[in-house]
Order: sequence, then C-alpha cells, then structure tokens
Amino acid sequence: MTSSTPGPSPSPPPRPRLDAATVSALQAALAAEHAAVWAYGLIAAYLPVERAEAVADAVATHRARRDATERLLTDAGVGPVTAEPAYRVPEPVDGPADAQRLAVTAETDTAQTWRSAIERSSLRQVRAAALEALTGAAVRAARWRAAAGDETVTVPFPGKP
Amino acid sequence: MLLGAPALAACTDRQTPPAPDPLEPVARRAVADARLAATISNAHPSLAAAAAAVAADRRAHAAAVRAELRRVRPTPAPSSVAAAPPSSPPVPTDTAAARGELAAALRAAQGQAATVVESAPGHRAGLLASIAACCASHRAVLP
Repeated sequence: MTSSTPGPSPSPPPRPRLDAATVSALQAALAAEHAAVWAYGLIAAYLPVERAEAVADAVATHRARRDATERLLTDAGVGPVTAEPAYRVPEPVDGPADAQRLAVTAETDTAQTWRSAIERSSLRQVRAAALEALTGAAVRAARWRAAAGDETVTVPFPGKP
Repeated sequence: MLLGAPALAACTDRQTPPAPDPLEPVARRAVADARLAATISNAHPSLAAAAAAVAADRRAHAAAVRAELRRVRPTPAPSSVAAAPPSSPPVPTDTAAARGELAAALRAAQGQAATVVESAPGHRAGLLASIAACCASHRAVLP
C-alpha cells in the first residue's frame, strides 16, 4: 500500500463471522462426516456389486459435505478438525448385513450432529446446509434399513439423540 | 392520578387475540396426513405397510408439535389443532393415484416444516428439521 496517511495496517478481506456455538456445532458435524467417509470405505468392501452405486453416492455426498464444512470454517479463520487415522466400529464388520448396519450408524451419527447444528446455530446459511445434510442422512438410513430387510425403516425424528 | 386509572383499564380491556403460532398449521397437517395414510393403508394392500408407517410417524409429529404448542401457550386459542375433522378422507381407489397422493402429502409436509426451520428458535428448528427429514425418508422408501 502506498497511502501516506499513517494508521492501522490495511484490513484483510472481510470474513464471515461464525459465533462460538456455530463453530463448535460445525466442528462436531465435520468430525462425524470424516467418520462417515471412513466408514463407507469399510462398508464398500463388504457389500455386493449391486449396492456399489448407493455406496458411491453416499461417499460422494459425505465428501462434499465434509469439504463444504471445512471451507466454511476456514473462510471464517477457524482451523477445521481433521480426520482420525481410523475409527472404532460399534460392532465388528464381517459381511453385508454388518456393513449395512454400519451404514445406518454412520448416517444416524451425522444426522444427530446436523440436527444439533440447526439447534445451536441461528445462521441461515448453516441451518440450510444442516437441514439438507440431515434430510439426506435420514433418506440414506431409511434406504439402508430397507435394503437390510428391516421391518421398520424410518424413524419419526431423525437426528434426535 | 386517580382519574387516570379508569382510562387505563379501558385500554387494557380491548384485548387483541394472540397471533396464531406458526406451528399450528404444522400440527394440523400432521393430523390430516396421519388420517390420509391410515385410510390408504386400509384400502391398498400393496401400500399397507409403508402407509401405516407414515401414519405412525405423522401421529408422533402431531403429538410432538402439540406438546411444543402447549409449552408456549398452555391454553390454546379456540381455532386450535383440536378442531380437526374426525372423518376419514376419501382416497383414490386406484393404487398408483393413492401412492401419488401420499407422496404429494409427504412432499408438502417436508416443505412446510423446512420453511419453519429457517427462522424458528433453536429447539423448534431442530424438531421441525427432524419432521422434514422424516417425511423425505418416507417418500424415498414408498413402494
């Protein structure tokens, strides 16, 4: 800058402000998205080829959500949480039925963090993204339960802990 | 200030009715959807299980929304959700048409709940977001 007037250094480009509650909710959702991406890697290995497209769609959606959430945090000057090297699965995965149950778990976990983000953030942009993520997770969970032959495939309040 | 009192009383007498809660139409729609889904479930064997599941979840939605309405306003306005018609709605005899009607009802319910999510206080927004997501999940698994 060549301005001759002394004063504070030029201000950086304006950053979207994220309040503390929003940041903490987004970090939790991002952590769940990292876990979901990891889980689908394991799920893919155990599902028959006719489920490959559903797995690919789910992975692509969770990756896109992860990347968008990372960008939102980074743009606000916040360091996004990173993925763990590996995750503990609630039950050992040793076949298609276990893999489908793990998919339901991954979707249920992300749904909870996104519903929580809606409750904790009043930012319109965050709520809109969180609602889309929650809805997608609820739809995929229902489809996985249907694929597993469960009698009840929906829950009345997806994302409710 | 004795003269002031009657004027003030006269003012407060003119009570404006409280604005309707934006959750009232959500509760009414949930009740109507539950009835529609139950009727479709009875009339169309191939839709019976899916429609019965819709009916159960929409009843749960109505109960949760009514609980929230009661929490905010313990004595409901006369035009409240309790005044829904008790009769069964007519449903198409054609199964594809009945399926279409159920899907359209779920889509409308999802949209209605999603609209409230934008501006509602946190806990309400969470409840309505779950309702929207549930309706979307039912639509995705309709046979």
